[in-house]
Amino acid sequence: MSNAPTARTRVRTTRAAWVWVLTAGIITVVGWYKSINLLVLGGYFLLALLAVNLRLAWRASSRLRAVRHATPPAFAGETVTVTADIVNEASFPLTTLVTAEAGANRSAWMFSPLDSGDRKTITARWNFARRGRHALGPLKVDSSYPLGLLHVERQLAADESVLILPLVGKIDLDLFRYWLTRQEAGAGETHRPSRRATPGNGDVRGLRPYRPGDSPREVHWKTAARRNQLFVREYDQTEPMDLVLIVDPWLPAADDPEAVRRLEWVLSLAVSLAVASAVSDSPAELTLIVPGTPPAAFHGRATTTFVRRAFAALAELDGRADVPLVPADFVRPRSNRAARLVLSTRPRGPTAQALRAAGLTCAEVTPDRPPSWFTPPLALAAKNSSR
Amino acid sequence: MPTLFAFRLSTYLTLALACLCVSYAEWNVLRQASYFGAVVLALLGLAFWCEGRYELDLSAANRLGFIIGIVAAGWIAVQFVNKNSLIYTLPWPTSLLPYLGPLLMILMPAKLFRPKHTGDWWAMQGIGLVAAGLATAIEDDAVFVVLLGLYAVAGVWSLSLFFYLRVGGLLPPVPRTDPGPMPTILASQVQVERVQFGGHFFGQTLVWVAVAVLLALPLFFLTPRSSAPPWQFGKTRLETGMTTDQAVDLNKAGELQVNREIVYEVRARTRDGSPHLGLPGEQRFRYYTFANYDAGRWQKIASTKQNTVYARGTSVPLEPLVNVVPDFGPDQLDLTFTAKISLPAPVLADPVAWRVGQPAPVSNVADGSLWFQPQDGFFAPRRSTIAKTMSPDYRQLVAFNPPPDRDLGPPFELSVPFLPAGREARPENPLVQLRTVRLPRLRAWSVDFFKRLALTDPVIAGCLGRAIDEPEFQFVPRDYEAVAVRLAAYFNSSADYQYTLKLRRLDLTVDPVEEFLVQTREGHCERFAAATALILRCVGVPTQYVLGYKGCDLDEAGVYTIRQENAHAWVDVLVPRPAPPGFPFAGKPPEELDGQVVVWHWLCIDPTPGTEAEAAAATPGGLAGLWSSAVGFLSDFVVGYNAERRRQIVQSFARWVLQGPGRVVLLAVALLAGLPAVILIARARRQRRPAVAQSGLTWFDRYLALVRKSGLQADPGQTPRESAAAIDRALGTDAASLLVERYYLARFAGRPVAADEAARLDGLVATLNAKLAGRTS
Repeated sequence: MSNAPTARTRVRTTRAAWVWVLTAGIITVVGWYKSINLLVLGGYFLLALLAVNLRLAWRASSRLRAVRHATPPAFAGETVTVTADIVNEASFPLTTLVTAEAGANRSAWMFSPLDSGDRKTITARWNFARRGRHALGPLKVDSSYPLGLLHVERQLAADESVLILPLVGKIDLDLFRYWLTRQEAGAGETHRPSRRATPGNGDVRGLRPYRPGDSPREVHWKTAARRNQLFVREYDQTEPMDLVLIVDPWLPAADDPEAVRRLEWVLSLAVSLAVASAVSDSPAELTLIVPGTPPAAFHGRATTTFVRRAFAALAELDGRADVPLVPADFVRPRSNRAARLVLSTRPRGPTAQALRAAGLTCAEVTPDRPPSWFTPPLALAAKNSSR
Repeated sequence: MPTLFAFRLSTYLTLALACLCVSYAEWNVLRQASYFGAVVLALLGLAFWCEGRYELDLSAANRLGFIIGIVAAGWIAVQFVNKNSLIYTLPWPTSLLPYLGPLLMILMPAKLFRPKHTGDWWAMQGIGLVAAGLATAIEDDAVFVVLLGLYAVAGVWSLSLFFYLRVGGLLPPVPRTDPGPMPTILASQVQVERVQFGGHFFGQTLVWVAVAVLLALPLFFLTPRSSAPPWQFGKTRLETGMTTDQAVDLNKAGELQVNREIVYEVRARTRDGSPHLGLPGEQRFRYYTFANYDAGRWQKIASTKQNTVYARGTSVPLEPLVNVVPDFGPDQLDLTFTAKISLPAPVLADPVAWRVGQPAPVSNVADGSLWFQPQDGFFAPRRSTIAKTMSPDYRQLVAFNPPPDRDLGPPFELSVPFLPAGREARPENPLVQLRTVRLPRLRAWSVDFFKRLALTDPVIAGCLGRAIDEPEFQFVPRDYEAVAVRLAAYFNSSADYQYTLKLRRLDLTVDPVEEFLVQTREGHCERFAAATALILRCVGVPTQYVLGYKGCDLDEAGVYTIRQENAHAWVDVLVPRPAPPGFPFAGKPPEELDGQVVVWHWLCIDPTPGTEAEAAAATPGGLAGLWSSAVGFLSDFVVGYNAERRRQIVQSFARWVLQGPGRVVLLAVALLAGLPAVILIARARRQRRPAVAQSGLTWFDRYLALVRKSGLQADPGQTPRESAAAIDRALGTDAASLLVERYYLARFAGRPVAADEAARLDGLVATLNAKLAGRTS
C-alpha cells in the first residue's frame, strides 16, 4: 500500500509527433503562401488533432489511481508476485498503459478500456537474482490515447521495495543428520539423535509382536511363518533436529570478489538449512543468530513463514571485517538441546573458537570445506542447465 | 481492443481514398494518372485480400521496387520526349507535380505486399497524406472536398486503431528498437464484449474529427491572407477573375467559382475636380488582348512594329515624358486607379481614348510620368518607373463617345494597305494575324450560319449580297461593323445559346469553340467572345479577343471597386469609318474604300447574354438544396476564402457586436462557457492535491489521513509496521502498531473486522489524533 504521489505530469513527444508537426507546418505555410485554402485548413486540422491527442491523453492519465499491495519477502531466483489495484476514477472509460519496472524486470498493462469506477488488479511476476532490498520502481501511467503521438506520463504509485532472501540450495537432510552426529555439535556430549520406535517409515529397528491396529503391510511374514505368530517391523524415528545457526559474515576490508562469493555461499547455506528443515516431515526449532551490537536472534518453529520472516535479516546482511563476537552467554540459553552450527566465511573463525572456549560445542562449516550434504544454488543451476 | 481486421480495413480504406483524391484531381490535368489510380485501387484490394496469406520476401520486394522504379523513370522520360506533355505546357517545376501522383500511388501497393512492421504502417500513412496534399494543390471543387473529408475521417480512424494495436504490442515493432515489455491487455468485461466489433471506434473518430475541425476553422478564418499570387495550377481560371499566369484555355471544364476579391479601386473626377458618380454600371476596363488562337487556347503575342496594325506616326508623341495631360474636351474624366492585388498588367477604362499628337492619356500618380503606347492601341508604364510586380497608382484621362458610338475606339491609319482576306502579301501582315482561323469546319459553319441568319435579317442579307467569294468567302469592309453588331445581338438574345458558369467539355477531341457552337450551346463570356471572334474571322473580319472587367460597384465614399467577379471577355472588331474632317494622316496616301477616305477603329462588341441560365430557376429544395448551400458555403468560406472575404467577415462581426444583438449573445456565451470552465478548474485543482491512499477500510484510511496530515507518513521503503512502530515511539503509545497489525490481519490473513471491533479501532484512531494534537500544541 502506498500513498498516491504528487509527481508531476510529463509530456513526451515521439518521433512521429515531430514529423507530424513538421508536416503540418509545411502544409500550412505552403498553403498560406500559395493561397491554397484547403492546404491551410488541412495543416490546422493536423495540429488540432495533436491538441486533441494531448487533451485526451492528459485526461486519461489524470483520472487513474493505483493502490499498491505489500510484497512479502522472497528468495532469490524465486518468482515474486507484485500486485496493485488500478482504479478508474473518471466518469468515462479510460484507455491507457500502466508500466512498472524493477531493475531488469519490466511489465506493462494496457487497459483497453477500463470502465468508469472499475478496479482491476495488475500482477507482475518478477525474478530477482540477488539478495537484498530491491526497489520496485514507481507505477507509471503512460497515456497516448487516441493517436499515440504525444505521451502523457504520470507516476501512479511511489517506489516500493521487496526484500530478497539469499538463494536457496539443496540440503540432503539424512546426510546432514549423519554428519551432525559425527560432529561435536551438541551440548557437552556428542549429540546422538534420540530415537523412538514408530510403526511408520524410518530405519528398521527390529520386530515385535503384532498388536491390533498395526498395518498388515508391516507384517514380517517370514518370521511369522517361522514363529507361528504375527510379527511387525518396528522403525526408528528420529526426533526433529533443533538447530542454532550462527552466521559469521566476515569479509576482508579490501574488495575481494572471492570473499563476497564465500559470504553468499554462507548465507545461502543458512537459508537452505532453514528451508530444508521447514519442508521436511519433522520441522525442528530453529534459531538464527546474527552478530551485531547487540546480536540478533530469531527463534521459532521452522515453517516457511518463519523462515521468510526471520531470515529477512540475512537479505541485507553486509559482510564486514570487524564482525563482533557473539557472546557465549547469548548462545547458551538458546541452544540447550539444539545442534550449534557456526556458518563462517573463514576457517577456524573466532566465533567458533570463542564458543568452544566457553564450553559450548559447535560444528563449523566454511566454504573451504564444503559439506557433501549441501549443494549450493549455483552448482544446482549448472546441473539443471546441463540436463 | 480492435481487431486486426478492423485496423487493416481502415488503413486500406484510407489509402484507397487518398488514391481516389489523386485520381479525381488529376482527371482534368493528367488523365493517365486517373486511369493508373484505378489500377492501384485494384492492387490495394488484392493486397488487402492477400494480407496474412501471401507476402513477398525482402529480396522479391526489392526486385519489385526496382522494376517499378525503372518503369516510372521510363514513363517520365517519355513525358520529356513528348512535346505536348504537361512538362512543356505548364511552367517548370510545377509541371512535375502531376507526375508525382502516380509515383506516390504505386508506392502504396509496393509496400503493402511486403511484411510490415510499425514503421511501415507509419510510412503508408505518410504516403497517403502526401498524395492527398498533392491532390489538394490541384483540385478544390465540392466533390473533391467530400473525398478529402472522407479521407480525413478514414485516416483518423485508421490512426486510432493503429494506436491500439501498436501500444498493445500486436504489431511487429520497428527493427532494432526497444519496443518495451509486451503489455498484458485488460479491459472491463462489458468493453471486451463490445469493442470486438469495432463500431464505437468509428463513432469516436467522428467526434474527434469534428472537434479538430472546430478547432481548425477559427484559426483558418483568422489567419491573414498572403499577398503572394494565388496558386492556380491546373485550374486555368476556373474562378472568375484574372491571375498572373494569364492564359485563356477554353479546354478546361468545371464550375466557375465567383471570386469577390477587389482588384482595383477607381476614383473618377470631372475636369473641374469634382467627383464623378456617373460611370455606367456596365463600364468596361480592358486588360489583355489576344490575337492568336490555336487548339482551344488564346495566346498573347508580343507587339512588334511588324505585326501591329497601327500605322507609324498615328500615335501619341513619345515626348514630353512628365506632367502633361491631353485635352479631350469638357467631358473629359480623370480616373485614378489603385491596384488591390498584384497583376502583371494594368487595366484601363475602355475604350481607351487618345488623340494623335496629344500626350499619352495615362500617367503615374507618383511622379506624373507618362505611359507609352506600344503601337497596339494600349498604354503601358515605362519599365523604369514601376516595380516589377506592383503597379503604382496611375491616372487615365478618358472621354467617351456619345451613343451609339460609345464602344468605338479612336480612329487610326493601318500600318499596311488593306487587302481582302487571303490576299495579304506577307504572312506576317498584321491583318493575317487578326483573321487566322485554323478550323476549316468552323469556316464552313460560319458561312452557313450567316446564310441562315440572312433569312430573317435583311441587313445580313444585304451584306451577303455584297460579300465576295475569292479567294474565300468574306464580307466587304463596309459591312464589317454591321455583321459584327448583328452577330453580337444574335448571341445576346438567342434562345439557342445559354450563359452558364458550369463549363462542360463533352468531347476533348473537338475544338471547344466548335463544341460550344454545335453541341453544348452554353458557356460563359469567354466562349461567347471566342466564338464571335472566330466566326467573324472566318468571314474575313479582323478581330481580336479582349480580356478585362465589366462593371464596377460604387460605394458611399464615391470609390468604384472592380472585383474579380467582374472579369469579362469581349471582342474588338476592326471596322472602317469615313475619316473625320481634319484627320492628321501620316503623310502616305490615305486609305480609300469604295471611293471614300476611311480611317479605322476598334469597335467593341459584347456577345455574352446578360443572365445566367439557372438564375431563373427556383432554389432547389431538399437534399439538392442542402448540397447547394453546402457548396456555396464551401466556395465562399473555405475554398474561395480570401482577404476580401475575411475583411467582410470581420466588418460584419464588428457591426453585429457593436450595433446588433452581438453584445448580448457574446455575454451569454461567456457566462455559459465560463461556468463549466470554473468547475473544470476547481476539479483540476482538487485532483492536483495529493490523495490519500485508500485501503478500503475506513478506520485505517482515517489513520492514514491522520498520519499524513501530521507529516509522519512512512519513508520510502519503510513497511507500515515499521512506520507505525516509529510513530508509537514518538508518541509514547501503541495505537498505531495495533491499528497496523489489525490491518494486516484484515488485509492479508482474511480476518475481516466486525462492527464492534471497528468501533474500537475508531477509538484507537481518536486516541492517536489526540496524541498528535497534544504534540503539536
